[in-house]
Amino acid sequence: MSDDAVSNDGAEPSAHIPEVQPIDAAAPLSEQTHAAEQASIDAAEAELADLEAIEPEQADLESVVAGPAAEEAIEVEEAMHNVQSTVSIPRATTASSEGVFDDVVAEPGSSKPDPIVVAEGIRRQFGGLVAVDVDRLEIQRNAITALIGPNGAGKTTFFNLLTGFDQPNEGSWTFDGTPLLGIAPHKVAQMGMVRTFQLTKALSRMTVIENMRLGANHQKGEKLLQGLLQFPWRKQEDENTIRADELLQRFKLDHVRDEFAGSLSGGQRKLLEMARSLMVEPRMVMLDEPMAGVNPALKQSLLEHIKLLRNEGRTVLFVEHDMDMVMEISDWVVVMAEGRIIAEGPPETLGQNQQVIDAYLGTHQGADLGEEE
Amino acid sequence: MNWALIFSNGLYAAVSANAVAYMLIASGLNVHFGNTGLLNFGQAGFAAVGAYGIAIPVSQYHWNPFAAMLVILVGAVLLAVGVGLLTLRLRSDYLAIVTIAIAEIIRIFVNGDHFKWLTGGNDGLQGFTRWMENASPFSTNGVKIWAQKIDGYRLWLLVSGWILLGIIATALYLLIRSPWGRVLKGIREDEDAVRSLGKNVFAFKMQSLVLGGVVGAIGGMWLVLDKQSAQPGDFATTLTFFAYTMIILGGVAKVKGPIIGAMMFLFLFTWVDSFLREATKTSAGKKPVLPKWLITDNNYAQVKYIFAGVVLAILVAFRPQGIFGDKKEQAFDVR
Ligand SMILES: Nc1ncnc2c1ncn2[C@@H]1O[C@H](COP(=O)(O)OP(=O)(O)O)[C@@H](O)[C@H]1O
Ligand SMILES: [Mg+2]
Repeated sequence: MSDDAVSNDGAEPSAHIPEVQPIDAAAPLSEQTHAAEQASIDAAEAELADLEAIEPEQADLESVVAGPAAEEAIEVEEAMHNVQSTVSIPRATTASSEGVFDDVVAEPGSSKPDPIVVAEGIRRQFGGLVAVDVDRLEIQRNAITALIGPNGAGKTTFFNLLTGFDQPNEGSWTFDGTPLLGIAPHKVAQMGMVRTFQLTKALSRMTVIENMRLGANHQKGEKLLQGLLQFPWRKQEDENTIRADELLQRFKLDHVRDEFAGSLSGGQRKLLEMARSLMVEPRMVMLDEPMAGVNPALKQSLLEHIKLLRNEGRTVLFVEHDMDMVMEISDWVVVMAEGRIIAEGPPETLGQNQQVIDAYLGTHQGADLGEEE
Repeated sequence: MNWALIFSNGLYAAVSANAVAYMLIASGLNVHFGNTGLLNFGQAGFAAVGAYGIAIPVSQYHWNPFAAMLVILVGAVLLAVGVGLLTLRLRSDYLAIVTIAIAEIIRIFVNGDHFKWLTGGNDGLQGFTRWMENASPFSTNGVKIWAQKIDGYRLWLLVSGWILLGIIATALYLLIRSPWGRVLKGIREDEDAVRSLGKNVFAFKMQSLVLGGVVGAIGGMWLVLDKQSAQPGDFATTLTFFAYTMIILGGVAKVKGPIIGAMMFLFLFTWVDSFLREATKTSAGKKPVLPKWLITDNNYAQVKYIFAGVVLAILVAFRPQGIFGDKKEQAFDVR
């Protein structure tokens, strides 16, 4: 995780904040950029409408995918695990979280109607540098929350802290009511909070299907003696393979099923990582820059996949720089800068938030001040 | 030049009980290094546990050898768990440093005068193989195959050793292809990714360490059963490096890799040795085949290492994935 954080973000945050008025006033954006942005928003809106139209169909597909195999897996889990950590994905297929955020105040730390994550006073220091200093954050269940902020804002570190890959100096947080402080990362994942990495971690010298199979939870064959005996796990392996193949199909990776993951393109690896995380049957998926380095054609399909996650009843928290993407799919946006949460709100309102503009323009226009590393 | 002897020496060395011992030691190390990506540089320590675990109880205290084998098992598990607790939470290079140190500590302990009453010190221990000799179904005269004479005890160790190796290699093969082995492979590639999928990486690494360590200890036991003597010098770091060479020659991460690799390594090494010995011999007034200014029967032992090293380097340079390694798999960086 440290190389992840240290080598930091490859791409600059591209702060095209679509609500153009205040930006025009604040910064000398060229006419051309302006026009281009307007066009891309229009395109995004058109696509949004398109997607909304097909969503019921996809939702149906999903309930099939999450059908008997998932139930089996849940049974197994119950046998081996306490009920607390049992993953059960609600079968409800909300098309979006329309209306859920209506009564939520757009300010840092605001309460949500049904938070799945509640974080309080989380602080992480690297030497003198305070990388994360979050007073309070609630993340709404079954919604897509975007975490944005300039490079070095502490987003990846915050991900690492929430998922147990790093330990905070102070603070506490709960996932679905369970306190997670001091819980090992693999346990956090087993509880249903699964993350991906900013620098994709496809397991290169394993095939795509083996990557997928590895993701399945509570495998009998992962016990040394049962693994040796073969027969205890064959059936489960077949079931996992069916589930893996379905996911590969959904993520359009079925044609590279038996290739080494190392031979995939950057975008395909992102897709694989996302698909693999779904093998764990998470209730919450945390995606660290899922679009970074992905070509535009794939980006659109990635967006659809993320929406689909919510429509399956999962919670999504994702880090993204591209504001068009954030606008298009997120239900709620959390803005970080210099470790702190400086704003929260529905995506439409962010463009008017002076603090957000300052944070972005601060790092951009102020590059000559040496703020970037 | 007795070519028949040169070749039969090489071939025998590749399949003998001694070879089986090396195959076991290297197979255990392959679980660590090849399958899990753990840099264990102390495999000689595990082998020493196997060697002295049979030698001390049987030769000093006249234990039942099967009770001694239990000592080996417990000893190897404890060593693995100890090393694991010390290092597995740290960065991977620490494992290399700690294992090399612990293996040396073990060797120095058994070599030292202070515990000579127990370990035999520099003289080593003998007289712990009677039970195995008694169990031999072969006549003590043994057999002569081609130019090679094999005594009954060695033949028995060879046959039973291959059966033992067959069982262990089959078990390893099944394990590596099971979901358990898949997690190890994942850890080799990127342990954080495996963690993010809900696997207890520490526990899997520990199991890998224990399994490979126990197999290595069995190899160490076979080594001293063959030599009929446990000597500290046989468990120096060189043993670990030989095991690495065998793995890399045969192909990393494949179960047959260390087996084939050990055969190649030992054949080559012994062939060169026999060849140089023959070629520097001055018998019955005849001149040796190789000129005295180049090499003599006094210094050929050193030259043999150089020669074998060069051949190994060439092999590795032209086939870095080993004989059975997967070139395609090798093409992707570990990161
Ligand atoms: N392991 C670490 N050691 C020291 N500093 C770190 C480490 N990880 C992150 N940082 C620093 O913490 C700050 C936040 O980094 P990061 O969380 O990667 O930001 P983001 O993901 O928002 O770009 C940066 O200034 C970064 O240099
Ligand atoms: Mg980051």
